Amino acid sequence: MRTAPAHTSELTDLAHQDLTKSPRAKAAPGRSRMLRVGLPSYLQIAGLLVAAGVLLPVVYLVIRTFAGGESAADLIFRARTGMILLRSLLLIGVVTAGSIAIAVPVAWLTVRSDLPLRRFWSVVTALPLVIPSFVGGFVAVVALGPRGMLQGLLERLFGVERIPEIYGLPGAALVLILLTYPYVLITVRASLRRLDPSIEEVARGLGRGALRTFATVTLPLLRPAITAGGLLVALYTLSDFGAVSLLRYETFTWAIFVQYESAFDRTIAAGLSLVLVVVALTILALDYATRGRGRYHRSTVGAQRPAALVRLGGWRWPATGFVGMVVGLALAAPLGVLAFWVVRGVGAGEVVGIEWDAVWNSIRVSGFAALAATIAALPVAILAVRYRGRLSVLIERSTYVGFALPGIAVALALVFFSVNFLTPIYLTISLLVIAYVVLFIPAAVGAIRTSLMQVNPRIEEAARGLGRRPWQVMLRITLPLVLPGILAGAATVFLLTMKELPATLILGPLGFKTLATSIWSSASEAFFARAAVPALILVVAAGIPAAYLLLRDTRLASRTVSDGSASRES
Amino acid sequence: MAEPEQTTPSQDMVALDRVAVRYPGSTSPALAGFSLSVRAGEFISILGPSGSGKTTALRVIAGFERVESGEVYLDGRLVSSTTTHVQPDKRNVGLVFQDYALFPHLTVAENIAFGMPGGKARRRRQIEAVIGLVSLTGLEDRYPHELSGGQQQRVALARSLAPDPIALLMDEPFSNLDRQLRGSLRREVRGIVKDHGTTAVLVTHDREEALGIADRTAVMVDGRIAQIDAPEAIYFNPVSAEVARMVGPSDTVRGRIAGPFVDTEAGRFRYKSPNGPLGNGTFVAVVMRAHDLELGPWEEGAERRIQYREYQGEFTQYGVRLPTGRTVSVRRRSIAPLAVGTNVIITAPFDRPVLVYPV
Repeated sequence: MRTAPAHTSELTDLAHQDLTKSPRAKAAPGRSRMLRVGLPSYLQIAGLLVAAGVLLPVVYLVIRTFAGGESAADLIFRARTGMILLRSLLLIGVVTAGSIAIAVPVAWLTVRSDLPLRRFWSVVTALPLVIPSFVGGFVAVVALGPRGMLQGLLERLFGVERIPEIYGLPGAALVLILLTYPYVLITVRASLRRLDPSIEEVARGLGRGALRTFATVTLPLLRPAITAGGLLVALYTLSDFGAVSLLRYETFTWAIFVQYESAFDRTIAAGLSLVLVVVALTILALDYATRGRGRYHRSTVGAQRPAALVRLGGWRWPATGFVGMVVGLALAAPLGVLAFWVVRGVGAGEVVGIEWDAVWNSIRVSGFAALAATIAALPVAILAVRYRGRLSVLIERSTYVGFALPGIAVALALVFFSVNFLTPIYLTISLLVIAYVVLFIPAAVGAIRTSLMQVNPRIEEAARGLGRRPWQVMLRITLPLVLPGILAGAATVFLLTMKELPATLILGPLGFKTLATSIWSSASEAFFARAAVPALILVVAAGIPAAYLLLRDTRLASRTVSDGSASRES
Repeated sequence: MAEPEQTTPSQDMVALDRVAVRYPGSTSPALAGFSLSVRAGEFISILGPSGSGKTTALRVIAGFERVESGEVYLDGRLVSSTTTHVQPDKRNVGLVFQDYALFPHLTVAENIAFGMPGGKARRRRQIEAVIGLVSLTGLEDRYPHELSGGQQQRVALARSLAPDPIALLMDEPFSNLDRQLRGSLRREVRGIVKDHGTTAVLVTHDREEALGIADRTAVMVDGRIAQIDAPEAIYFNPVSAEVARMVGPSDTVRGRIAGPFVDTEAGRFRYKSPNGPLGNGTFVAVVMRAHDLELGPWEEGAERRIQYREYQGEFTQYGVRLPTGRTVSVRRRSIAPLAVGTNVIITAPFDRPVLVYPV
């Protein structure tokens, strides 16, 4: 678990709930890792408050829809909803399959082969993660659209006047595949690193060739990781708003937004959101049902041996070409297009000044969100790891709501809830921050939880035995030790908030501009040069915390391999 | 029920009185009717196989587990009962864990100072004294990951001794060390603890460790103490076949008392019955210790022959197959080796009779 970076660990955690039972706890039944005495009630109360806060808006969404009466039900179940559902599912299928097809070979090449510049590739292949989908969609439109850059180039060279349509499924799928394959890449890579190399060596020793070993031993062992990453991609695709709206492919999120903006009666928007929530939960349930009972644990304790690198030989350069092409399309091309438009805008004398208030707003709300989510996540993570019981599990699971639910649904739920019950904060930054916390708290919980699990509870017991009260132990021992996890969680929430669009559009105060909203509004009105500047700023600003997380991830991975005592606790 | 100020009459530093502990969701109790008294300055070891409840006993004393019934006293003060539970930080016991549990973000000196009361100047003197006691002078500013396993173990010991605990509790403290280091550190730890005058309870599944380090050893079977006594006394007079098996490698066969001898399929032996005299014809379990048996070639019959021979250097271990197919191990000096397949007779020397227990 520890090798998955913080921003995906919430998902991988969800997909492997019972990993908290360490192999060691299994080996010695009756000896528990938990502290059974002195569960502080303030922790429980804080945890319950967080869980209630996360769940309440969603529960209210259900109530609100059904309070709309029969008309709501009629609208939900009419034919158009079916079409939207079909389109959403089609997009999910194509994007998930495509991202797995890219991610698995890239993961293997960057972990197990002697690919030239392996370290460099392993960081940059994960970096498309930082490009928000609305930036990706915008780049696709300006580069590949009907009168876009590619067509212009082809016209000048070959006189081509039409290129295949980018709007609709092909464009949305292409953009989302290139933006989401890192989710599969990261989980698969973590799993590849953890894989005990002797399993493969035994297969080779039993006479299986390299390829057959990969197909019959390695791939099945990677399946849980592929599934976990694929689940992330599916949920990301379902909740994506930016790419599908700019590429005009009508899925749930776009339909909901249009309904919300244009219709007087918002019951339809609420109803569609509810359907969207049901689809998201169905995906989770399907994953849960098909995952099967089998789990793969490394059976030995003690230091893990890193696997020997596979020599690519003559395949070196084709492999490098493949990885380079992926990075080129997913990272270099978008950055290049943005830079081109900035330069061109300046050249054409357009006003492309930086909107400092949008930059400041983005940083400010992201900072608040990171702080609030971290504070809310601490009691949840501590309860889940140190005081595991029915209530703690319930609290922890309920904070995963935000992870399963699309941003637009959470935003609408909060609109309905606050209009009726929290009028003073409706359309204020406070409500916006609450929405971010609901959406992104799983990332903070996951990161803190992962690093808390690495702290041997005996260390806390030793401090208790030396005469320290529970809160003193927390302050002097536990918190300093999990600080890296807390920071990683906060950085992840910051990154996700910077990239967030639909909730910001719906819940932001009137006239409130962030980098995300100003990119989206400029791009949807085809002011491409004006959108390019904030997009470039956003990608660079999001790239900094992302690079920190990715570097931390590779460092942790190498330490897991060299330090047996640490890997045993994970 | 106990009153808060009730004390035990003796000078026991640690006393457990009929303690029972059950883990949630488990059918059998982890501890059942567990009683133990440790006198001031005494070094007690608890020996038991994994799952026998020995670690639970330690955690009950430290206050990390609540008791279902029974009472726990520390230096005469009631700390655990059905109605009382003093928190671990209010018990003043020292803990040494199998994996040391050093604070990884603190230096050696900071680790040791962590549990010490008093001002900085007084603490510095004490820290110096404790560091000297465990021979770590010069390593005060190192971090735990910069130390060897044995050094980490000493820091853990120093950290728990520094606040002058009522008792030092050690949970398998040597099991993460290699064999050679284990032996020397064992002697050293015993020396340090005795010099310091601290009462100590050590839990282990290693027989050599349990018998070698302690003034008295308690052998645990199924959540209770089967026997507690000086190590030699337990070794020579184990009260049951289980205890006998735990304190020395042995095989058990069935037998029947015939006058001063016991008849078994392995042969006829002189016996000792630790639980009192037995009548003629009594059926017994016979515990035969590999070290205490002798082997000689025997021409008649073919019921007992050497099945395997394992050369171990100074000694050679033989496996002798009995008529029923059971094997008895015999450990013998490596002189005049016997070949596999040789018919043999097993004997017990006059001064080392086999142990018998009525069944």
